[in-house]
Amino acid sequence: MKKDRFDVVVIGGGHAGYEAALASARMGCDTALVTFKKEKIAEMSCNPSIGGLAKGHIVREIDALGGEMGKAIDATGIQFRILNKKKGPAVQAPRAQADKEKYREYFIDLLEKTENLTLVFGEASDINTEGNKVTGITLASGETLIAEALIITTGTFMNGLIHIGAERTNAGRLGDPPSSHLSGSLKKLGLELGRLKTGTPARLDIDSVDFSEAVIQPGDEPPPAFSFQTELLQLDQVPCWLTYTSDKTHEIIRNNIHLSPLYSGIIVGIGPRYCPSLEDKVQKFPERVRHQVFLEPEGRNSNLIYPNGISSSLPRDVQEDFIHSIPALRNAKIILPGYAIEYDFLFPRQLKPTLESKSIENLYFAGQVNGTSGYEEAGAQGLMAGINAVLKIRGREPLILLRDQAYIGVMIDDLVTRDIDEPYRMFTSRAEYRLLLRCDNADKRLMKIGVDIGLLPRDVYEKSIRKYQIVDELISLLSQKAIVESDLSEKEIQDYLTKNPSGRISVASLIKRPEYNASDLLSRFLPDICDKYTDETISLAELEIKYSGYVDLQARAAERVRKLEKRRIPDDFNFIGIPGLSRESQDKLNRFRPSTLGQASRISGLTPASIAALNVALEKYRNER
Amino acid sequence: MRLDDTAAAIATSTGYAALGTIRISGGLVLSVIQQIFQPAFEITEEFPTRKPVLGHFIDINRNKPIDQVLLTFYKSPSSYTGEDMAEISFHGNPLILDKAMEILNSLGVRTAEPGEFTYRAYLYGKIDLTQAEGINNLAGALTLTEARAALESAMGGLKERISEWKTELIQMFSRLEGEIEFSEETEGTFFNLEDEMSHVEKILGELDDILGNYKYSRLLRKGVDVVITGRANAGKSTLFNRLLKTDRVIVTATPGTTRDVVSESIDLDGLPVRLYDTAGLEEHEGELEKEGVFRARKMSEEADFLIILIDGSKELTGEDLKIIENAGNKPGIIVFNKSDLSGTDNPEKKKLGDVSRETIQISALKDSGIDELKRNIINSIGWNRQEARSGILLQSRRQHELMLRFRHSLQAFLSSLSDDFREEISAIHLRDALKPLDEVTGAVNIEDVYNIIFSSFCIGK
Repeated sequence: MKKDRFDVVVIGGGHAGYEAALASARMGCDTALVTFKKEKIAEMSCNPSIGGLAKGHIVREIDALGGEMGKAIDATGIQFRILNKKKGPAVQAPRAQADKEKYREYFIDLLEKTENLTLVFGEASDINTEGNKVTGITLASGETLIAEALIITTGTFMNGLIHIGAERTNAGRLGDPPSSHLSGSLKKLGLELGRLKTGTPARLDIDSVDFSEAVIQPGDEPPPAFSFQTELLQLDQVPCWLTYTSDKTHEIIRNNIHLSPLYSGIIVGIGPRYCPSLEDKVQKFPERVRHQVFLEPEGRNSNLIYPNGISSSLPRDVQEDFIHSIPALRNAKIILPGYAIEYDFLFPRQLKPTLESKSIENLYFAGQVNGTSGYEEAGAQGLMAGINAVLKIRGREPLILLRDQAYIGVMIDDLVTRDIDEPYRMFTSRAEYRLLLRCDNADKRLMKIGVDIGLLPRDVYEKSIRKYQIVDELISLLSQKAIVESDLSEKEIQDYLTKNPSGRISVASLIKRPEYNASDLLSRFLPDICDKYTDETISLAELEIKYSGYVDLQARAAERVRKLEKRRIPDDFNFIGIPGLSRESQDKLNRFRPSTLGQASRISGLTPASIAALNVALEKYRNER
Repeated sequence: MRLDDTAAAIATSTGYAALGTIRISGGLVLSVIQQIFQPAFEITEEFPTRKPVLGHFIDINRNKPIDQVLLTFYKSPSSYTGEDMAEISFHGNPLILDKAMEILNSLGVRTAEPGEFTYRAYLYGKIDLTQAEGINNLAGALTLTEARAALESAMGGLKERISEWKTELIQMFSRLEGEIEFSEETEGTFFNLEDEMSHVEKILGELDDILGNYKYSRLLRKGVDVVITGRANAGKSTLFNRLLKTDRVIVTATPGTTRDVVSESIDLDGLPVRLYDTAGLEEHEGELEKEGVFRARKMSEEADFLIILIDGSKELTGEDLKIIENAGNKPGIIVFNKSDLSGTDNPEKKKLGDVSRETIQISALKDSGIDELKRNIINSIGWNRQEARSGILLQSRRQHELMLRFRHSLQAFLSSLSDDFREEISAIHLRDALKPLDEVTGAVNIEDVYNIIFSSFCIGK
């Protein structure tokens, strides 16, 4: 007999789905992952890459908590780079080109061999509840699965509608059926859905591209890894290429703009402004004479090129015309056309910071269905939903990451306290404490949590602790090592020593100066010990020293805000009629139903004075109890 | 108004009075008391509540008392605001009260907004809304319409200017964040250091103009006390009336007619001036006269500006010199009256010797030299009607404090651009620079920043 009873059921096999299912199964819960087709598990529906600014930060955090994405891209990536190398370490992040097929295979293989995890193939069509609590799902085939907790990670599939010019197809992704029943089931449960839009460019035959017309974009050597558990990446990196649109391209777009469903008003969903279609770029920035087009291979042996920068929903023949007006793509063969897709999403203000629905118990949502965009954002939510579903059914305290703890915390907090009006992408500027949330210290920030919830092997955490012990030891050596006059050049004495009343400075204080780097100073002033430390240790010590004053300032500011995060607002608290609050503020609070005073303070349009009024009302409420 | 903080305000009206009270409310009150209050008698147990305690208010930086005070502590919720609260009664000298506020500010106690304590009381359910409104209506100190009009029109100007600055800084923030976030996704630069530095310098210049004008705001709000002092029959009341252009005070030829202090408000080129006519400063027999002289002396001590009036038609006496000496460093002018009798080239002036005070000759009776006297008063006080009326005036100590904070953080941002520029560090400084403005206009919504980035730059691969 087929198994039909699970602790946790996950609907969807995308990036949110696999992280959720793996977290749940690895934490020991009997878990099912329901998806249409095995071959499409972990599919990268859009660009063949992972990471980048803020997104790379998120992958490091997923990895530190014991998630899979970082290890998977390290195992299947074909090109690795650090972005923003010219800027400070807090705003640098890794990015990798993936081998899409290898990435899927990695996860299919992993999910199949993961204990406690069952793959179920089919369409989830109905959510079953009893009272306000989830009991399971019914599949389109009529089968039912019983679940204590349910995690919905359906991406763009709910009522997905693909546009290519005037052509419209119901689909979750080009070539895959949509999920057409689930939206209705959610609405029946009283959940509010909205509609968003996103797009993807055409895919081109690699053999038809003229790379002599493009500039090569190699990876970094040595390739930087995502996972803290990856010792060393060794691979033969595959390059990307850069070419540009031409006058002709823009002319073709302008002449055919009326054929774009975006501009003719057929598409109602709102698309991401940070990832505009070529139509948008040409129309909104007419002064730009060219736009960049990055040619990214979809795998080591793939025949597909992903032309990053020219997503479009124009008719097929127009797409062909404008693509052929790009120098390197004059003879390019289009394998799949670009398209726009509209889909239903759940307004995430209806979720708790655990990603559980506020109204339906044990029902969780994660990923693009929550109005986000990006594999990394999805994966992180999947991981958090999986963890929290397990903690909930075990009656344990939920895991809520704070804004000064992780980008994941910033993201989920934003989702539950803001209105989503375009697909939400993570930016480093969304974090108030950017200097605290760095790629390099994700392990320091989160590994303890990963171990405590049982997802991260203890030895990985202990290795990280040892690493920071050595870093701290080096920092104190550098701070204690005094430099005297005879060690310095005439100019250095002039610049540093004379300004210092004690006549002594430490190596660390020189490291703070922009013109020095730690490893040079180490071999100059502490030559006998410099071989003792790895490059990683030295660069971590350098970073801590250079940022030290600012990191302390941000940490103190974060501490002050944490006070507000600790003030919980009871679920049954009535926001209507609070003295000192405008009707508008009362309505806003009632709509978002924040669970802490900190959350309330971030609801847009609420002034500090209204938060003070709310605080007083809360205190009165507590006193009356 | 923020949460979790403690605020203080001078609760009595400004200017000299017998007593001046500062009220502090919020969670820090007890710990602040422990730092600034030295009780006259040892307090062994808990600090008494609702009971005045005698002691000294300590300047914690110099570890010296600034005044003897009565402090009453009210424990939450049994206080006016519902929070922990203290009322400290000082001697009514505005300088002492200002100093005390400064000390409290340095301990993290914010200057309260107007009406804030009443608002807190309302939030805690201590009073209802009608009561709160009634209490707020009691506020309103200025009687001179011109001064009030000047302040009110300046208020709109400040808000407007703040939102201009804010718009400019948010745009700058967008360029800086664009540079950090998207420089690898698009061609061209977002943030041009030199341009941005000149933007910041421009704002700093505007800000300095406004801060420089604050003195006018203080003068307009508090007014200026000008005291006419001098021996009996020097013509004080005649001058008083001349300045008033009315016959408000009875003038006779008998010395010592003005036994009490008489005062009247005048408008001196847009500046509200309270003019005081005092008794002649010489020994008298009668009780009444003694009292008059005592009050006259006290008035002179508390004046913002002294008109030391001397009868220029007679020889300079020891008493005249004593009056000049007693005036000390107080701003003021020596006025030789009765130039109609003495002639304009008064030889007595030379007898003043090394007294460095400015002198002037007038005839109050014949209305000669009065305009010059007025000009002199205005200049010495530092009043400039033109500047005061054309610029933006900060309304209150709180606004001044806010603008000083803004200046400080903006300056820090500017230095971060010139010295070892790092985008992510400058972004922290820029966020900090915006914070004081948030208190006026509400917090910056990061979505506004993205709106500017995405509409000004073509982002996205």
